[in-house]
Amino acid sequence: MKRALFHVAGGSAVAASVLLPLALILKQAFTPEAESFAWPPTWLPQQLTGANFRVLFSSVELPYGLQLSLLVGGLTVASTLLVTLPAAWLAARAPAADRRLDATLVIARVFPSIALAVPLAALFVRLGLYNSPAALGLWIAHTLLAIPFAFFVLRTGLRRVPVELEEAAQLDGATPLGAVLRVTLPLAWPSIAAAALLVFLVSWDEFTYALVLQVTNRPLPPLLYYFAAFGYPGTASALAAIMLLPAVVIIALLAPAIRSGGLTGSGR
Amino acid sequence: MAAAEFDQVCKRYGDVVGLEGFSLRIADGELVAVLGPSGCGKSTLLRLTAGLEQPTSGTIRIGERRIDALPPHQRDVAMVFQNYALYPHMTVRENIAFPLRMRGVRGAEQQARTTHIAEALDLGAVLERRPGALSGGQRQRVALARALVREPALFLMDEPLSNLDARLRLDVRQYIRALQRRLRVTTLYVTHDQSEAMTLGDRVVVMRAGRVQQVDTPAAVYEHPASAFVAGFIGTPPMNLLHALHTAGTLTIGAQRLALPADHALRVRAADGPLVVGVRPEAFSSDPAAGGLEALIDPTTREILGSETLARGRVGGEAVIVRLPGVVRDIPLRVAAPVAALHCFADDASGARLT
Repeated sequence: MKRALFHVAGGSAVAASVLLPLALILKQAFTPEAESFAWPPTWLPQQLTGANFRVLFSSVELPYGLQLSLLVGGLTVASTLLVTLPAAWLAARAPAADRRLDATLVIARVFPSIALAVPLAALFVRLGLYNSPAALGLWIAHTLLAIPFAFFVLRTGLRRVPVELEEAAQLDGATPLGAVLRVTLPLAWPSIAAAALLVFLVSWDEFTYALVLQVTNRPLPPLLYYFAAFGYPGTASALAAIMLLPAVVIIALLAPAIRSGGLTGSGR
Repeated sequence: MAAAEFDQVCKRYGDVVGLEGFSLRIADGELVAVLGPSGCGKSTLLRLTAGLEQPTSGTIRIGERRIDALPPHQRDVAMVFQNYALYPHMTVRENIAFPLRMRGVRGAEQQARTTHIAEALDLGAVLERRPGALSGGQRQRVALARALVREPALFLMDEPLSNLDARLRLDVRQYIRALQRRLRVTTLYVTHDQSEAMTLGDRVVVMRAGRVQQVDTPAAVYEHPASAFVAGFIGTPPMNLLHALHTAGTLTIGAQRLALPADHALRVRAADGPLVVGVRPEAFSSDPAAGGLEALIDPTTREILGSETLARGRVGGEAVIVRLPGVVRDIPLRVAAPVAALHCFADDASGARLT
């Protein structure tokens, strides 16, 4: 009985921590600005409106920002997986290499991104990647940022594929690379998919580098900031609601992928 | 099919010896069983042969081809893993066809060979299933089929029966023997189970701490163990080992003094001094007329197993196990083993056979 009570209380707390911000964002997006900033606040929306979205969709910045965010997100997923998959495979198979990579990546995570953004900006100015219309500089920055996230997810997934399967494939005539491509990667696909989605979200949400490196060619997060800071809080709220969408979809996709086994039957 | 030859193969991991000076010739179509406790180097031997590890020194040949520096996929060696290592994302058919696919065997020939080996191993009905939907015995046969389908030059088996339950293990053991005889495939079979090694092997290699103790037929390993280690490892229960002293044709064990025949090797070589005497539990008999080494039985330790009866006893201060045939209700208090049934080993680290 007591235990059930704990479960209900705990579950409610977790649900509230997820649902309250979500409700707040949606309420702001669908109510007129006057009501959004009324004091005392109205907990339930008094008046629903699509005006914020109409303004947002009529802005010239949105289509470009959306394209840029999708482009950087997609490129970052590709480049991060390309770099991280071999490293994570090595770490999963060679514990000695793993310890060094582990430490390096943990250290990489402690640098504050704003502190890195400024020297990166200076470097990218020289390289012609600063404020690039295709956000090439931001792509590099996001790749660096996303590598540790992807590494830990992929390493966990690759470790779950028994090394004997790769060895068996080699004895069956596959080259070492062939064994990984034909056996390990198909079996590790849930974690590869999870890593890809996670990396996309990291890039989609990233604000600091985007703000510093893309001063006028803005992807969505700095665009949202720009709307809010320059007197369009309603438009910003509508954009916030749109930015939520991929996050919600991805999390819905991630949950079953992370849970699925896929390895039953290899052994006894 | 081909013969395989190991010449002075060594593997060291830093200061740790994995395998030391391993030399062996496996004849074409022969099954050699490698037997030893865990850590004896038998798995290292298998991994070196498969190419999953590189030897520190020495050469391995299959036929005329030297393979010790080749990567696994170029060796023409197939292996059945202890845990089978089936590809869980492929069907049974795809699992079996995988080695053919990797060697560019496609289309009708791939289909025909896959179906043929599957039928031979009684897997025809489960070809479209995934390994996850199979029983332990079926998985084991899929692993065999995948290894055999491409007719490898050398076939390696790493404790392939250890994940099966006891009844199935006996069936599959017979099955592997019959299959290996029929296909005449040169095989290296690694196990820690002496009954597997003795029943399956044309010859048995007994290993300890990275070194070969004996290479011989199963009968010879049982009848003439090359060292005290082999004597104490082979047999269920294994040979009793007792401390003894040899002085001018007389063997002193505890308080017993046994005269050796004039042609006994110890006497001929006049090797006086301490030694280890081995006597098999089944060498003892309850015949009151039997002479030789006497043991006093503790009747409370009698275990009737049906086909045999076991009991514990003492020779001087040392414990022995005695095994008498059939059901023995009234265990004799005194049993004896003839002098001719005693094995003599050096009383040193080598434990080498003296007679």
